Amino acid sequence: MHINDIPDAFSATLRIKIIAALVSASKTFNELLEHTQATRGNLSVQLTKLEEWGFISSKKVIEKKKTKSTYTLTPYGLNQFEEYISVLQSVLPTKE
Amino acid sequence: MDRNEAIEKIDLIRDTIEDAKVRYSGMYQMCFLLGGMYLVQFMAAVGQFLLHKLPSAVFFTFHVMVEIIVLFCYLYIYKKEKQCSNRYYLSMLGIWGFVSIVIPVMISAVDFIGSIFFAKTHGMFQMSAAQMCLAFSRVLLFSIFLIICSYVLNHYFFRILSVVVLFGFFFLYICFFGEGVPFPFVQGQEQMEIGYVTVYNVLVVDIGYLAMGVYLKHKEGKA
Repeated sequence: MHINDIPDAFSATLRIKIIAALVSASKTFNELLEHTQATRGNLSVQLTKLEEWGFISSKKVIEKKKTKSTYTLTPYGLNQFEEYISVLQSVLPTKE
Repeated sequence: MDRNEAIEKIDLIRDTIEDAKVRYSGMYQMCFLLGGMYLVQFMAAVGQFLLHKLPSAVFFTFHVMVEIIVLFCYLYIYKKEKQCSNRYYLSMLGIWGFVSIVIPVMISAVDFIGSIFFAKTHGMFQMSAAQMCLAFSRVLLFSIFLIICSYVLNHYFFRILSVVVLFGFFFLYICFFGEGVPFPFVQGQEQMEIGYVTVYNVLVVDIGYLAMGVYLKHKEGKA
């Protein structure tokens, strides 16, 4: 990944927050709401985009007649995220 | 992208990852709750013996009040943790709370109803039988909790400890059933003993829960 070639997934703060929140473990929609402090609508839109781009995958489970969606970072998403961190670090000045 | 923007993004990522880390809050809060409840109930039982004039109804009411307060605290913790995606963790918290908090409340309610509608001795017999089951269920539950901790924290030591805790209880139950530590003599009262099983429960399970609570809290702080 090059500094002039950063994927759209990392162009919005909310999308970065979603990916960062999924690094440690899979999360439900409500957990992501709590971590990102976003609105339901906005979060839903960004999750759909990230899923379309292959950064995350979702799984729907029916619990007590309610649908619960769980989101997981894909290996591709994790790889891209690591590359993005490297790009960010490269911008920072190195300690002498 | 300039340097400031990169620093902002890194800060944002670091904060989000930190916030989304696995939490042990429900577990250690439950540890403090259970350990605290058992200790308070034990202290109340000792207090009732020392203040012999205190009616047993007062002691019983206090006992039930503590259980009800703990039940509400547990329901609050469970409601908070319900957002979690880990169904195994939620199931464990549910079963744990049911066995250690909801069942004692139910037993107290049954005993209360029994003491109203039946002879007092009958009620007392029911309570002692229930207490015996509770003593074992507490140790068993604590052992299961240690096994869960060993998997969650990836510490083999807790698995060994759970076996030691369980066998310690069986050893005391089989070899020293009906025996106990003499209670400090109180003027004008008959000499009493605290059963080894009760002492074991207080020292291992009650204090064990509190110790595990401190350990898990410390672990979460370090994570």
